[in-house]
Amino acid sequence: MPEYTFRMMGLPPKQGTKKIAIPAKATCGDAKKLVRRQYKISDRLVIQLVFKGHPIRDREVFSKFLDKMKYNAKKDTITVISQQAGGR
Amino acid sequence: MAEETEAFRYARHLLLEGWDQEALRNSSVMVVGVGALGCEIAKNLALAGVGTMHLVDMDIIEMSNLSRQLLFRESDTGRYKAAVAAEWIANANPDVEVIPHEGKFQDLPIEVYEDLDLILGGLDSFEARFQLNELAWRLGKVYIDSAATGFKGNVQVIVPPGVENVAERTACLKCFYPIPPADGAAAAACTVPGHARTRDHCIIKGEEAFIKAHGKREEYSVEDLEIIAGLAHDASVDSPHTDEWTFTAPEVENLLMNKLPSVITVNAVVASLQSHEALKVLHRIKGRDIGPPMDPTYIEYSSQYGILTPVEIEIDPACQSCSRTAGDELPLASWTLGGLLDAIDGMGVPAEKALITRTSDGAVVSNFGKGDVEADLAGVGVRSGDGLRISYKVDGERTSIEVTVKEGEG
Repeated sequence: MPEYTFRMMGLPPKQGTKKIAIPAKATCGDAKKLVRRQYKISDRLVIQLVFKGHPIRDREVFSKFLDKMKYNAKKDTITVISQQAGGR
Repeated sequence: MAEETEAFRYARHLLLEGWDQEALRNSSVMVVGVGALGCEIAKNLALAGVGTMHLVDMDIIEMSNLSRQLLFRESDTGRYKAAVAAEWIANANPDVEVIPHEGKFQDLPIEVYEDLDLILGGLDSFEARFQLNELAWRLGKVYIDSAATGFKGNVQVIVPPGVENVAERTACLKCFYPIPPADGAAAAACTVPGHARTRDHCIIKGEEAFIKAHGKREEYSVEDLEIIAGLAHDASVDSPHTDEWTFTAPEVENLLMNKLPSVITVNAVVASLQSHEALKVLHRIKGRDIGPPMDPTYIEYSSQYGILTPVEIEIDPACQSCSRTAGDELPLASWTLGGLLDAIDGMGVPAEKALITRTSDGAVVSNFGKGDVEADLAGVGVRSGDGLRISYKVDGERTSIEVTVKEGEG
């Protein structure tokens, strides 16, 4: 299963950088679930995965999108951004 | 004499290179949401000398607001936030013309927006933030969005095309989040089968017992919350997985009413970043310059580690808010079934509950979101410029809209 490097915003580089295996056919929505679990992100927060400034759409096949964007496993990272998902 | 007083009031500003107090006095802003962020923004811009300020909020002041919202006092509980904030500002800086609106921004007449130079959002609902983003974009107003929860927050500066002197067009909120997350009380909507295992489970069990005995409520009174707290205690006693726990009304309210964790220090930092971006944009709109809007246009603040992180966000050529070219055109980011469903979700229509057919012959394109998301739309006979009918139910009533699909640019 291919591994990708993720960087969670708001954490220092050591804690914020993780390699996470994402199945080749997984959509970005599926990838988000795996990322959420790995970083233990609260359900109160909505997350977005951003690569080279492009938020990845949930139904996009994750590996295909990154291939299209010429993801380089040796040097590139995918940014994980979380913010409030709405509440009162 | 009044002029002299004013000169002294803003004396330290005059030392700032490029600062123009006159430009700010002639500026008009709207602060939407006068909560933890909005109070800070309104205070900052009022003390800085922004001439006209509209404050919009439909809520009334509650005790739990007082730990973060400095414009309010205990004696103000039960009053409208917009009105009380306006009184505070009028006292703090009589130079500011402050106009409170005690209601929803969506209900304001369009004329209110016309004279504004920019709009600042301090909203807690994602859906409302999307609506404000789209409204500002359509009106050609700069919108500065913010959000804060727990120990983190973020600011995004959104500049539509044609705002002179400010910056090039930027990505909008919906470029970043094409599909709105679900708002509302997620916890309250769920049920817990079997015995409770956590404090949250006990509260949900308590609410279930309350509803059985008293019926469903839109809002809970303090007395209701105390009853539920007692029932949550009973649930903990009944469960073999928990100790005998006690609960308080505020803890019950936090969970059932989906209250956000919030602390004044984080709100103050986020609101200060947002307010200063507003001051820069206002100067630029008036042909003056104290710096450009931040670039990248999105910044995140994490208080736990004291980290500010700017994030580049590209314009989405298929964005349903800022890249829709005309009326009912629906640009797609990818010419696949997934691209079509995403675009429909982005319109606020639940694609997985919609029947999508070709307008010309009624052929089914997507049956309630089923099918291979990677399938090429050409394979089901859909070409750029074709009309599609999207049928779905709203509150049990079937409705339909028609759109013309286009390949996204860029």
